[in-house]
Amino acid sequence: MRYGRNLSISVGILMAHRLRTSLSVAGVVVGVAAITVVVSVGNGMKADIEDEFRAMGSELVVVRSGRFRSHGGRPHQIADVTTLTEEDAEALQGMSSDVKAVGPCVSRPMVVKNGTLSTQSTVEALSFAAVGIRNLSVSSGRLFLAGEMGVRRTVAVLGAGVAENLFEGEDPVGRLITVGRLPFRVIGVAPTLGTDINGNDQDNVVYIPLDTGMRRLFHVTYLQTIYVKGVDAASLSRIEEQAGRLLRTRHKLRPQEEDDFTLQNQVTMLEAALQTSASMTRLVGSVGAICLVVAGIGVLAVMLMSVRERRGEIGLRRAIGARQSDILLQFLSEAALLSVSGGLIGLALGALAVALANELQWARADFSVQAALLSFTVSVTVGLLFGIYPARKAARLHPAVALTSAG
Amino acid sequence: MIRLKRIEKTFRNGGVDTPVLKGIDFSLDEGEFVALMGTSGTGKSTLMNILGCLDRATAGQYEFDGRDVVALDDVELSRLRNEKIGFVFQQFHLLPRSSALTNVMLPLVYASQYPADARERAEQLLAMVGLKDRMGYLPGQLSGGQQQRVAIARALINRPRLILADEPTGNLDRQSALDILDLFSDLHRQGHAVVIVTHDQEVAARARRVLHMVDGRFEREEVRP
Ligand SMILES: Nc1ncnc2c1ncn2[C@@H]1O[C@H](COP(=O)(O)OP(=O)(O)OP(=O)(O)O)[C@@H](O)[C@H]1O
Ligand SMILES: [Mg+2]
Repeated sequence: MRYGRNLSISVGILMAHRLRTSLSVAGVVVGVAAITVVVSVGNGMKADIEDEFRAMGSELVVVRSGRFRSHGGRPHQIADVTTLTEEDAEALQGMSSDVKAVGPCVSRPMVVKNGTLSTQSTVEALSFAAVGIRNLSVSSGRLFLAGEMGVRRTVAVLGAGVAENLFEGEDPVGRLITVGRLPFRVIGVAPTLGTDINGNDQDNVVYIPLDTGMRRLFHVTYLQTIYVKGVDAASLSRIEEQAGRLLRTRHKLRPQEEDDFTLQNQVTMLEAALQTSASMTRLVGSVGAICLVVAGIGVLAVMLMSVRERRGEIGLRRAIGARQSDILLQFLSEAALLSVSGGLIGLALGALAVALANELQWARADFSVQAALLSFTVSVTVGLLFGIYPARKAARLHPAVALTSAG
Repeated sequence: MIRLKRIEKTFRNGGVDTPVLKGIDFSLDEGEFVALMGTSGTGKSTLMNILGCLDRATAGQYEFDGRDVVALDDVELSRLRNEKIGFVFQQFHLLPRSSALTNVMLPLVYASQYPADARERAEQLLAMVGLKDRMGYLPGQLSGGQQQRVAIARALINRPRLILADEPTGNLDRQSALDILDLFSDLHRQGHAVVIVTHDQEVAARARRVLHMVDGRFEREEVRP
């Protein structure tokens, strides 16, 4: 009870030194808000990556023709090669019981038109199996039927962006578009997907049947990509190894020759992507943590100043019956008050920033209760820890000296 | 009530010893009014600090109500100050951001039991010192004399039997000083024991006993009938 009464006096004193108090609290506010936001954005990023791989199906080995090199986690093709074929895809299908499905694809950038409206987009020719493996879906119309594949039909599913560009809000299903010089009938429109983790626009795409693309539009005999779906995640490394050997044999590569294809294990890719985002989160999060330590030093400085300035008050309190422990507790609670209020403001600001980031679509941020609680706890602990020294100093002040030195 | 025997106090600062009190014998009875005089630096404040249990003597004996003060620890000394002693200082020492009323009630924060009538008591005391209509004022909004009256009300809130006042009128103008002195006379009449340090003969004239200190010792004692 005696502490409760005292605390209201402390609040009054802290409020009276508004500027000083807010300066010391600012560090705590920034630290807590920063950690909350960073971890929340990190969470959002992680969820985004996971969603993306889930959409693609994560039990996947992707075979690409030519050699790719990874630049900052994104694959870049070094050379285009023409050796990956439909026969390769068939061979992969029969390779082992680990393989559940095989989906070949080839794509080209092309001009797509509807009357006078035209747009440059990626035209992706894929097999029926590839449609399933890629988890493609439509928001209106329908996907390809099994019977439409392999008979060079000119039907197309539009990405949401292409549909918007060419039809400006009208329903494209059933309408005709021109791809290159060939007319296609639109059978469906995909839902809005946004950009993938490599920054590719997933909505500026036109999907067409594989054979139509290869033989009537692109006039090619080779594939670009073969998706190989494994029976489970554990099968992927086996598939990767077997597919490598199989393709080398089929492409008649001599031992000293490099692969003319690239294998990507989605599980490994997912892990790498998650690791990248986690290390980013850790990096920025540790900046927040440093901020909190700096904030602690701010609390220390303010408390030391406060103790020096309030020697008279300390002496008086001792004279009217305060024990050393009373003084210690008073200054500790003031330090706690500083860090708790800073922490609360930081939490509120952090939550606000997270809500705003989502609302304005700056970034996906999943508010992390754990990070919020942790940073709050840390900030209060830091405040208390840095409050101990000044509080002890105050408590150990000799009452007679404190009274006279105060002037 | 108080008995000091051969009290000595030596300040030790970085190997340099400064003997200030050099054998003080002093006793104070219940309800006595004593003035302590002497030139600057003779150790009056030092003695008051020891009397008020704010500082410990280097040597000697100190009994308060029959208890050996020398043997008390910080907690017991704090309790003794809280319950039995009221302090009045030359610099008032009021909390600048708290109202007169809050300042007067401050010692109750450290009382072993917070009285139910704390507020009424404080208001009564403020009325007694003539600040009935200034209770919500901050110290900065009060004159020096008024601030010292708040400090006196604060010294009385725990109903101590001993009032220690170290130059309580040192910062005040003549008229305010006289008013404050009247207050101390009243307290004495109400039965409080009062020890007051002063340079002022007129102040001392109100006391029944006047002790003259020279160089850490009592040189002379006047007792009026
Ligand atoms: N903490 C301390 N350390 C060292 N010396 C001290 C300390 N406190 C007081 N002194 C010395 O003790 C002596 C007596 O000081 P004190 O304050 O008791 O004098 P005083 O009689 O109250 O003087 P005044 O009338 O000016 O208030 C002085 O010489 C002072 O320098
Ligand atoms: Mg003095």
